[in-house]
Amino acid sequence: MKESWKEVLFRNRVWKSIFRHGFPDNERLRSEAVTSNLFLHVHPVKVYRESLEYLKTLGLGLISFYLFVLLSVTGVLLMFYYIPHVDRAYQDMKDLQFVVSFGVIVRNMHRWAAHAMIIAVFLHMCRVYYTASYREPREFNWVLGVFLFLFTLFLSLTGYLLPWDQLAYWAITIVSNLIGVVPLVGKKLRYMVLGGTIVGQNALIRFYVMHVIVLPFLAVLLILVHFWRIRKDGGLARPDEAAGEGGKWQEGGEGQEGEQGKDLKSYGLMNLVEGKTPYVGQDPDRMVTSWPHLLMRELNLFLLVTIVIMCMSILFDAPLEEMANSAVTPNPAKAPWYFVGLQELLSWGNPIWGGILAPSIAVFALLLVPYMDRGQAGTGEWFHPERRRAVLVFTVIVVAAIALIFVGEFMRGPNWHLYWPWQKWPVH
Amino acid sequence: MSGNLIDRRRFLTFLGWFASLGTITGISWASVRFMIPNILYEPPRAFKIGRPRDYPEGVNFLPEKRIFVVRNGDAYKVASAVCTHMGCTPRWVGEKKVWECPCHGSIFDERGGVVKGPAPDPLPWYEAKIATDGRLFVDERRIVPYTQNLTVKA
Repeated sequence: MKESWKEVLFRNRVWKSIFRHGFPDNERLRSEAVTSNLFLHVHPVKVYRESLEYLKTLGLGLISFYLFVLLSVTGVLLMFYYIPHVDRAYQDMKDLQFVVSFGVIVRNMHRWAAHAMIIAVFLHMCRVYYTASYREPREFNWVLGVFLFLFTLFLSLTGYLLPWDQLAYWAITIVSNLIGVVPLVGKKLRYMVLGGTIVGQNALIRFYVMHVIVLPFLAVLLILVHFWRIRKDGGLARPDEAAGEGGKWQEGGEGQEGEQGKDLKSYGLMNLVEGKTPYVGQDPDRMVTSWPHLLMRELNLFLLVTIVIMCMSILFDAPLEEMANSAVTPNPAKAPWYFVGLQELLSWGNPIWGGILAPSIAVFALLLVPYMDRGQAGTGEWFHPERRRAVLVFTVIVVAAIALIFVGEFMRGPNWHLYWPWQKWPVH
Repeated sequence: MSGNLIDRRRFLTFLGWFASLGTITGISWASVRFMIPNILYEPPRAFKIGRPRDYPEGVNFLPEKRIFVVRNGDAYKVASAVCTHMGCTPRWVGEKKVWECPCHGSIFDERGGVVKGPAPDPLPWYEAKIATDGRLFVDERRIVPYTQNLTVKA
């Protein structure tokens, strides 16, 4: 018998010692490929066709994750050259820009991916809200998501100081003083965060350690739980899941693994048989195997995200201003754009209100969203008409936040005076 | 007998809880305390600057120390150049006789008082003395009222 190339590649002893099964070209092997693989078994064996539609999620969660992966890789590369010392850091940035091969591309990728990740995570949150996908049993995963959003912001912020240029120095000065206005413990907290009273060497090494190990480690932990919960909560929210067709998630009991939990154990033998089954028109009919349908989409998206970030990094350079100088405050000095809305709010008056209360209330309200929503209609659907009010309230808050950022970023000139975006600032 | 057994079990349970919570609390507290430095290698908060006559009439900004030396004839004062709001450096605008902060738009009058903007406190004035070598000695740890001058006869 003549062996085909597939036989040679996928049926030999070495391959089988690693993967246990041959090339997954039938449904049984496809399910085995997913369940027997440590990295793939986060996926279900089968997924709903509708869950794969691009408009369902716009792929925003995956995009966020891929950006995190890109950030981890480029971040580790940058660590080989960057030394977190006030005399060295800025020089190392210059080296990365002008001396190290592809250094400028790696740095640009890290910067643009960071900005993109904030946007992607935020849009992901909006998607989950507008499709009411946070409802039972997914409340806790929304909570995890809110924390992941905060971690994204903290990661960006701690990374912002590291180039040790004017932009970094003054942005962190503003943010650290923001910590100082926390009632009672503010001064102590600021002292602990900066490791002193000024933004200096202690602050630099602290931000560095937070940025390269503490926060990424915690973020990875949360991401793992976030993904795991997607599976455990029954995959993506679907409009009909509440109706019981797909078997709603239930607490405890044998039902989870038995006849009632088709979602949870969709790789039962019956589901894997192609053709006519007693399940015609029901769940198995509406599902496809993750390998290759989901996995190919994931790989393609990863490729797309990487290419977009790479092109941006080739076309646009990340900013690097003059070296940090405590004597010269740039005019105007601005926080990183994702905090500039907060800075705008701060300029209106009492820092406790703008800097502490407003963001705390916003985060608290976000955490409460899934527990306050008692609605049933519209789960897994964009902008369901019965959710008009909920959609409106959220949209108003989102628009207000964007407006604050816009005003702070584009309409504030020297001495924080108001200017139109097209208006020229006076030379001084 | 059984009473004794329960007592021993209770005691051991207590011991277990005590050891677990004690260890967690101890390590947490120590870790937090560890993060608060006991010694700082920051620039000193009391320092000498130039001789009084080095500073011309009006407001002089000393960037490396982040202070303003204000001279009014023989009278000298030293003000902080760190905005009380978010720590940026306000600029002296001579025509308007005010300090304007670039970060959030706070404005301070020539006495350091807040005229406008989010700054919660006026700019503090620091104690200034004449050191034995005739140079000005500024102590940022000592806040003095605006009315206090250091008078140096030329």
